[in-house]
Amino acid sequence: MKPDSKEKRLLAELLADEDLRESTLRGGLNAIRRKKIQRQSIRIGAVLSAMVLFILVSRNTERPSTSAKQQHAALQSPVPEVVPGTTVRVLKDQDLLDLFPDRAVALVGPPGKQKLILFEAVNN
Amino acid sequence: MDKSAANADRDGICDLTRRLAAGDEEAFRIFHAAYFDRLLRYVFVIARGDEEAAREAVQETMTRVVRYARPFDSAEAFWSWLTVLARSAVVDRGRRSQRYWRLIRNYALWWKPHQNEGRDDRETEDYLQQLLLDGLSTLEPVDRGLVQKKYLEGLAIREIALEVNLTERAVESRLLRARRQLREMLLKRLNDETRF
Repeated sequence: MKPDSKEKRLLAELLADEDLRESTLRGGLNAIRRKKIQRQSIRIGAVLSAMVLFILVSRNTERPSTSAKQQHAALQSPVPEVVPGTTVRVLKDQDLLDLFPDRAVALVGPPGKQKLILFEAVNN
Repeated sequence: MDKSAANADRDGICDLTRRLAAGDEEAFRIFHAAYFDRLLRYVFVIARGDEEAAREAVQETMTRVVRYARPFDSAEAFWSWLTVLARSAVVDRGRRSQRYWRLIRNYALWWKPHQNEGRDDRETEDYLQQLLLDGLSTLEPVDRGLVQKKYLEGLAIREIALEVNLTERAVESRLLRARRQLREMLLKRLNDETRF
């Protein structure tokens, strides 16, 4: 860096005051410290965001697998429903219909009051 | 400047600006020591001798240097960038309440070719030096002699006092008065100026 000429040094002497020199130096150093704090905050924020995101993603991927496992377990060991106090098994609609594999059948009526209708072929 | 000196200068500015961009406090101290006076001279001219505006603009420029610092390959490019910051600080100060105009001005500054700033800088330096010489010529001959001996010839107060047959205290007092006169003359001439 080229040294200032004598005229420039005189101009600096005329124009500058030590308060301004000191305050601009202090102001700049404070700005650097603020910038550092900002950068650190951003870094910490980014790390925290990444952690939160990771937790959310891992939770979401765990949920479906758990319910799938439960469904699978339910299919593997079905517990038949029975009439309380008896060994009479309560059939579901599909179980009932499955009892007549070779016939035309239908369940008619509102839920709980359905009637099983068996159709027979009529030969003319 | 020979080639090795130019390389050293370039390496120096590369290193300094890189460290400034990285938020190195020591680099800022070096930058401040090297550029404060030059920036102040420049801003005084741009602010047309408005002392308050110049002070605020220098302060703001220093803050912007910290905020927007980036590496530069040459001292010229770095100084050119500094003048853009300084100019925008002066303009912002004048138009603080007019956001619309600031936006337009920022846009214009963004497009403005940087090489013009170097020419402006040389003009401002030459102009200030001319004003200084003019101001010296308006001082009383004794005071002018004292200022020249102290600042242009680099003599110590004691040497000057012996040479002009005055006490050291009297020399200091006359120098203080001469500096004030010169300063007032400079600010007034800058204020009257419409070139910048």
